[in-house]
Amino acid sequence: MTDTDKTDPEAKFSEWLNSANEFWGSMGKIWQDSLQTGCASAMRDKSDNGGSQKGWESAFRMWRLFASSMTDPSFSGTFLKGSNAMPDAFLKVAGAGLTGFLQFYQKWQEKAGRIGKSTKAYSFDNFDREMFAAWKELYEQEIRQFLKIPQFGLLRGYQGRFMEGLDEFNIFQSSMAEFIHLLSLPIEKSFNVLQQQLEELEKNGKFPSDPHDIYRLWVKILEGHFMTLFKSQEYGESLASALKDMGFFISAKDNLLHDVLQSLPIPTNKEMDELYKDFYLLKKKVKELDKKFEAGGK
Amino acid sequence: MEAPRIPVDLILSKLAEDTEKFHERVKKGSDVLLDKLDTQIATTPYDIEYEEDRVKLKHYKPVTESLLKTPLLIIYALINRETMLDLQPGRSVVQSFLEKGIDVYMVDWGYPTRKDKFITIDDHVNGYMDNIVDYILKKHKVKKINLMGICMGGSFCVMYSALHPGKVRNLITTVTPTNFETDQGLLHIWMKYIDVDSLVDTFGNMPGDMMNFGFLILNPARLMIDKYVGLLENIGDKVFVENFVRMEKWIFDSPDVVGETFRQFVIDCYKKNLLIQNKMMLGDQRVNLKKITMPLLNIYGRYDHLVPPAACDLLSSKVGSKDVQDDCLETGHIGIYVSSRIQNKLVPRIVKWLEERDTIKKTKRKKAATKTVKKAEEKVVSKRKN
Repeated sequence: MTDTDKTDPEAKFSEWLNSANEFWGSMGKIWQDSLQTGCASAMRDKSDNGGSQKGWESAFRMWRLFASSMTDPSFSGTFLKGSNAMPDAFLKVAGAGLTGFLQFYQKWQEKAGRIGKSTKAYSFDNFDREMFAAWKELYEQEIRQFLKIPQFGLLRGYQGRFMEGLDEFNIFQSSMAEFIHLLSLPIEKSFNVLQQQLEELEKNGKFPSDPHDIYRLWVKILEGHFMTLFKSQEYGESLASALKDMGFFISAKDNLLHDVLQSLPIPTNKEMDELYKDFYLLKKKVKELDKKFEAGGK
Repeated sequence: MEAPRIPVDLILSKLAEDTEKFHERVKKGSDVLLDKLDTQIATTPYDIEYEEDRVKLKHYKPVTESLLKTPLLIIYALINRETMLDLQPGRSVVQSFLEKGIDVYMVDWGYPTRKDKFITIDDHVNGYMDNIVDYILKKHKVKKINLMGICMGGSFCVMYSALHPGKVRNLITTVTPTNFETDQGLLHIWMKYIDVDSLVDTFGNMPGDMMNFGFLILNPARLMIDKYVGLLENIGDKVFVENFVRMEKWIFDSPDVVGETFRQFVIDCYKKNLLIQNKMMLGDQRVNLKKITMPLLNIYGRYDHLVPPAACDLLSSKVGSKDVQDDCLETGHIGIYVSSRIQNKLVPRIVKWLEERDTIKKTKRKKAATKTVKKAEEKVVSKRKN
């Protein structure tokens, strides 16, 4: 992407429309193919489903028509002309957001393209972090800056802490999503391996007749996958990042609560901690003196 | 040759059979769950003889005459509770010790609150532990005690014995981590990544639920799925359900872990591995393992995935004592105390080891001698009869 592209909303808009068009075009084709191959023939026969299918097709045609019209330079130019009247600041916001969204959208499309491809069993070295990385990047580069805008006036401190809380919450959610996704991978992989092993057993005429044996086999495979995951560097890093971001979010939330508690006749954790520390040191001193006194008495 | 096929008929008939069994089980299960269940834990009678802040000292009521002159003090970890050693009658380490004539004391670390978050390892070892030991020494009019530590409590015992060797007659460490430079256990791997300062600064004390979640995801397939499938399969068995609930009670009874103690344990032990290198500092004192000159019995589990053998077995070569024994049992971290099979080995093993190194009470010795004479006489009589 060139520098001009980055700042030109018209080009970005057109780029997004093109890619959306291509994506939904291929999705529509998959849908139609599946109908033709008969997978959904039963659904097609029913009048209700036929109706929804027709509705879907017509909406899809409308979308493609709209999208291709919008990507026409003369039309989109006219469409976006009016936007010049908008305040510059808003355009900047929209432009920045659109750039980030485009990158995220492209990565998401790439990911969608990979759906159905097999994953390597007992391996988590190259697990697909792009989705999470793309969202984090979009957030950090395009959205976060607006939460970091300096606050003014009497309430600036309170507003600042609120924005910080919001920011830390978003970061924490993102790390947590990645961590939970990682935890779900062994389940997905174990089913794939189970399927392969069952096929193998069937080939050898040893397919288990007792469903419990299949369950036991699955638990064993699942356990193996979890162990491999837990020993991987990716898991360690993701766990550490989720815990750290949770810590930052809780601290930010506590700061917010501190503001609320200040107006109420309730001591805050910070105040109590100061008191507890004094109390702890004092008690330690007294115990030491008590021991010395007892020893001296003997 | 006939092509292999899936025995669908067999699977279906098995499923039908299972469905019938399942209905039966649900009926029995509801009867069991609605019935009065005995799920009490820690039922062996004791007195609280000493209290300091949140810490209590339990003294178990003897059931027989004391075998040894020296009482045994058990130090449990700060994670989970000491009730694991007294889960239920017949499956209780404490009860087994009492039956063998051991005078048992055990520390209950209690439930720390926010006010306890500044308490350090030094406060635990040189404060609470030392005060408790002094109390027992004074009460029994002896100069030394026998000390037994469990997991992190074992690490505390190692530190205590190095700093106060004059107060410990025999040291027993069970599943005790002292060498943290290993990648055999998942905890050892994960702790390297974790920013403990951020955690302790955020939470004050480490929340028990969070610690529990950490332990559950050490093996989610077994601990979060298979365990409960096992319960469903045995839901009609009252004894199984009672034991299961007892275990659940113990597992999820997790006090928070004192913040500063947790911070130092992770940084000094898990991250820097200072203890085994004689570099760990408690207050202004350095823990030198060479000062551990009393007999040491070091017991650990071959299949322990929390504290693997590699984290335990280095200790015996690092201490100053010449009377050292390592004992690797065929079990895991918890199995060492709750499995009936292992318990039948663990307690007799420890008692025998102590007997060989402690003063046996005179009355007991007399009785033992009389018993031997009687047995010898019986043998002679039976030989004559034959």
